[in-house]
Amino acid sequence: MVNGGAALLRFPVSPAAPGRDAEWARRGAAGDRAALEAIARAYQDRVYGLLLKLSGDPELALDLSQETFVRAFRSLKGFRGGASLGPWLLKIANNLFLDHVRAHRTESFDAWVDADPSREPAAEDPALSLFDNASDLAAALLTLPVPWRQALVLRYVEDMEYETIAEVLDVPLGTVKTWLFRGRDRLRTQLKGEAP
Amino acid sequence: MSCPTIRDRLQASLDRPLDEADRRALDTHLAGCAGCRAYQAELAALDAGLSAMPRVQAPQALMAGLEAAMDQQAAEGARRRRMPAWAWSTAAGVLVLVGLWRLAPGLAPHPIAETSPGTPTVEASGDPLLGWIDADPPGAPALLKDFDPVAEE
Repeated sequence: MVNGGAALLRFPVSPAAPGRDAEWARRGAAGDRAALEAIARAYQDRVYGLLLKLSGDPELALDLSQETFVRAFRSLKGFRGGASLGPWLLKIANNLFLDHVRAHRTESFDAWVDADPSREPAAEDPALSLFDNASDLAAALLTLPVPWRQALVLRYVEDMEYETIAEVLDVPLGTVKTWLFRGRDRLRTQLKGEAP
Repeated sequence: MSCPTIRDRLQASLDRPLDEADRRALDTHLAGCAGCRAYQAELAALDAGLSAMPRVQAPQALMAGLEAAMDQQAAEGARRRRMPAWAWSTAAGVLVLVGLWRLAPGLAPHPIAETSPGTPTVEASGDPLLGWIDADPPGAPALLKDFDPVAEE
């Protein structure tokens, strides 16, 4: 009943271009404008798409995307040539999003953002009330604790493996699995109309 | 396997293929458990929905907003590339000035002193610091070995 082969085909490893990216990074760090533009053009959709899925706010996603690239351009010297620029850029974007959420948090939102994997959110959590009017999966996603949301978006939108998600979110592999499992379970119960 | 374990395995199977033993245990359990079959169906629907979330295109405003940042980074790179030329020019200028100073007798205040015979050298002691300590310059008070604090008072 469980088709492992199909699962593998459905989740291809993200296309990586380490040689190309390393060259762009080297030239970009030296101030080659064409290389900087190539990086931005190649990754703009992924960075923006991730931030839009995480925030649900096009304007915020645009601002944070621009900030992601600005920071990346300044830090290209620190990029290790063996890797694709994708996870590196998405890590910057994820951290910026988390910084933004933390900077704009309310007291009750605080624990929600810093969700302990074992923690069950309280019924009065503000994000849950948002779901009253939500009618699609993307909206349901926005009601999840930020770390669960980040893990799910990286898994499904970016087709990332556990290891890459762990690297991007800077957490152990086991935490990634827990966040994915809890996120999916929460969405499943919400979409069924059950109380979480 | 218990139902919670089966549900964990069902979730895991969405991300990675299960090994043969787990897959067989899962199939056996599902064949006799309606609750876990329902869970599997819901999970499959959710998985399909998440996988089908549309990819989005970044608005043109993103690239437009990066123009200034790219210009600035390029300008900084150009400045850094110019640095070695400045460094070479400066070094060449300093060398010319030193040469002129050495060659013009009126400009050089004193001839360069030769090393005096008593001056310790690296070659003599093997360590310039030890050389200076070991050697008592002519006329200088003896160092620690002959120093008598009572007599000094």
